[in-house]
Amino acid sequence: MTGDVKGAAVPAVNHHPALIMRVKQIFAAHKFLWIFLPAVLMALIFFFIPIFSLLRISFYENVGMGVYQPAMRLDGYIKFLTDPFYLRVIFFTLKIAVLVTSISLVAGYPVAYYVARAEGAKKIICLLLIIVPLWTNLIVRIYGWFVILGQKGMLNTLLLNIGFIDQPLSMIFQPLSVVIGLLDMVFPWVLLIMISVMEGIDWSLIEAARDLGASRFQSFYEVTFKLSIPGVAVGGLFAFVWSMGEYAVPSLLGSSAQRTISIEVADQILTVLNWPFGASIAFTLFMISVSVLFISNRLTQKSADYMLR
Amino acid sequence: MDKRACTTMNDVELIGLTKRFKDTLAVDDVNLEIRHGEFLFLLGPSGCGKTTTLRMIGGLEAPSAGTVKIKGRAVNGVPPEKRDTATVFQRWALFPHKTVAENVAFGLKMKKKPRQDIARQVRECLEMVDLTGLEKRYPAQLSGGQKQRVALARALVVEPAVLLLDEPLSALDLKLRQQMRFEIKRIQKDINVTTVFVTHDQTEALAMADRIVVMHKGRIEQIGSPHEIYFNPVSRFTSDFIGETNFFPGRLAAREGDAVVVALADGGRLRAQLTDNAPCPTDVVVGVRPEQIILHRHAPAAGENVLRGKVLDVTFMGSTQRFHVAFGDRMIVVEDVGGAGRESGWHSAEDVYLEIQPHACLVLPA
Amino acid sequence: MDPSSAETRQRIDWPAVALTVVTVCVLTFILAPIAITMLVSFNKGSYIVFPPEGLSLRWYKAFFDDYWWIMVFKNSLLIALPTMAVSTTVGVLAALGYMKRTFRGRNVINLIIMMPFLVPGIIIGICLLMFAHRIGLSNTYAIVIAGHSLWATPTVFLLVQAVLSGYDFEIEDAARDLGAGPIKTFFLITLPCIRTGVLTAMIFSFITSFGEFSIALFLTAPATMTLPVQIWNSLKYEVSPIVSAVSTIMIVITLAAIAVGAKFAGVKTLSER
Repeated sequence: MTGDVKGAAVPAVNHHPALIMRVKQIFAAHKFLWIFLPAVLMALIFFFIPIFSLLRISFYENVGMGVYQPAMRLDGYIKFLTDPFYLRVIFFTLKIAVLVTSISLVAGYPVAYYVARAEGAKKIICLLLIIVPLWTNLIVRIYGWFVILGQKGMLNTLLLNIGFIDQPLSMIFQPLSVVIGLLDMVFPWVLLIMISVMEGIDWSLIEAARDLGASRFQSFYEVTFKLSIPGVAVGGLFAFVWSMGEYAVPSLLGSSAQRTISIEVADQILTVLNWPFGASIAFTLFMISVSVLFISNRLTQKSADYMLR
Repeated sequence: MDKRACTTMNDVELIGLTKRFKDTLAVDDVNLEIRHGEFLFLLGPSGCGKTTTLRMIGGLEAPSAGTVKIKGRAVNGVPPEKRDTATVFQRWALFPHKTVAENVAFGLKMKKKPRQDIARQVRECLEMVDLTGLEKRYPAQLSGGQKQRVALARALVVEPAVLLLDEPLSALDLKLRQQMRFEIKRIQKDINVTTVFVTHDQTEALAMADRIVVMHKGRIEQIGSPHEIYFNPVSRFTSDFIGETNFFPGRLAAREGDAVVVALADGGRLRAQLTDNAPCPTDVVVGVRPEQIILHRHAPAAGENVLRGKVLDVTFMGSTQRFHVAFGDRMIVVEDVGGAGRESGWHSAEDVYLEIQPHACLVLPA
Repeated sequence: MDPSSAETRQRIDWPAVALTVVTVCVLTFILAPIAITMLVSFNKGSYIVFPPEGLSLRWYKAFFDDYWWIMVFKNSLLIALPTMAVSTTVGVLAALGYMKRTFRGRNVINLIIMMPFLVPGIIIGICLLMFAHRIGLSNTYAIVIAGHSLWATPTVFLLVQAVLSGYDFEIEDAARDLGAGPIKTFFLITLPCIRTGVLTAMIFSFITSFGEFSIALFLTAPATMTLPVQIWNSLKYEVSPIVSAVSTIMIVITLAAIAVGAKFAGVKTLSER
């Protein structure tokens, strides 16, 4: 079952000799770089080359049932970006992503501030409480939301028992549950990013502002808030990319009416077996993610200038 | 541990040594010969290339051009583990997970010496640096001074041909530094190992060195004994860097054998005694050390080499008084240990006369 | 004397109170599903009812008795362990090189290593699915291990960087200076000193792989299915109450890992981004 991975990869690698040559050149020149060889090779063989493959397949023609043949057609992209059905899907995905991002930033900012300013045991406890969901796998957490939001689940039972409602609320398999699930996924990451940003702020600047006559709110706004914006923006961009590309949450916590880009992709690849079309959607998603990443990279450099790290 | 072998041989030779980092030239064409058993200092401000030069001798940095020879053999391309050098690092670089004894034994272990020999040599070395009894401690449990000695012992125990020290005392406080200077000098003399010491502290260099190499912007400014460097600096940089110097710019007015007369830009003339008969440029700067200026309240009888200025302020330093005197547009610092400088009751704007002996005038290129 | 000064001491610090309230709410929000899952797993009756009808361990027993679940659990282990080995090795080496000194192209290296982690997981899953198809590795353990290693290495990379911030690279120079070649230096000096970092990296790369879903969804076949994928199947098609027991087991494993990691490397290190 387990073949020799590196050996089997060679035929695929031979398709991209120029890239390999360039990498070889660079490594030959500086011996120090050899320590990165495994990491770079791994990224090259299992990420960059497959992405390139993905791009190529997205241009191919679909013959049906997982078979496709080489071609140079932009059908897939055009269909995805013009067909009203898919446009609705894109719009829905973006809507959800923006919602999740805004809520996580707005609600997360005060928490990040609180934790960054906390000290000693309080801080450690808070960090632990954030780390636990971070490392607990997503599926398990989604299951938890099933229990909480389900028809006979925790919230409904509670509300029925105290007489707040007469009939169980339909809280699951809704856009609402998708948003909740995505928030749960995104929060720990956004919190940690913002906490590390806040911790990088020199608190003596606030003292200086107070000393010069600024009120508590003013010094917060002028100093803390303004300095934290680039870092917060980075957090927001990550939240956006991950909400957009997340598959498990919408597929489990949403009904068939809530289709996101990721659900479409998975459908095309796994069910419909129209790989070229699926590849076009996937590559579009990839390009959006990468552009957002580059924007956040620029912002990180800007925030580094601010805080002279 | 005694290397009284061929004492006339050069243990280290640097030929045209150059090191380029991206677009900066850290070391620029350094040529140097270090004799066996010599205690040589590389002295200069930060960024002058002294540490880079040291690292190139030890093999931790590869030269961009030029050759390093150790005991007559070119070692370009030879990795540090195969060179017969040992380095004491500025922040000691002790292995945190090894005891003092294990740290010191490391080099011998690499040479695959038999266990009993290693144990004996480690013990002797620790005795030499006064650390007996601390063998089982870990670096985290040691004070700065103790860490310093372990680093020294670790380097000495492998009996290197060349001992390299990279500002080893700069992390210690003043009293400890002065004590360690004395210890290191003593040990170096006892073992007679060729030593290269890098520092930016000129008092250290003047106190310990056999020879000093003053470096500036990657190049060698001057090589000489501490005495030569202090009393006969050949450039403005050297005389400014070592000790304190007052500079009087001027032009050559007359030449009389081994003495010259310089017309100062701020007025007055100084007769200077040259150390040799080398040709002298026209535009010069006369350097005079503060402690070599004699103060007079009234114009002295002998009129030669007397400049007139006004007192700006006086600071009582305990053993001396430090005067700031306005001469023309510049401020002159005087530390007069005898004569009128000893008197009190000086006040601002008082006229004062500065007498400078011809031999105290250093004529330097402008 | 200012008459309001006594008042200000009595007045409630509203901003601080609000801050605390929001914090508690958010933290509760992210912890709720985990806590509830654990509670529900001890339910005697049907899982989706809360509060539990009675306490019992029947679902845990059902899990251990179920052939399919155990096989899936084994698969997850078979994939997570090699992933741990590969990603720790690759990531530790990369982090050492990255932190040792600045060099031209350092940012490029950072980007190359981190990128697989920063794009959505399904993209990697899909790409590798197609890639595996081309090189004939479809439905193997190997391709899943490859995908998971790709995903876990950036985590190791970041984790070890945080640990290395307290490491004095100059001792490697000292070792070389005293006669140890580069390989000897690595094993005698570097590795012992970064031991805790490596251990922590191993633990968390294991956890990352064990709980990873998106990539596994695309790359596993029924024979190589992993635990998260099986839970997903369960939730999507046939909901089995065993899921709560399985989930709790996974939560406990994660908690244990965090406890060990926190002891070795400290909570601060674990939260570095």
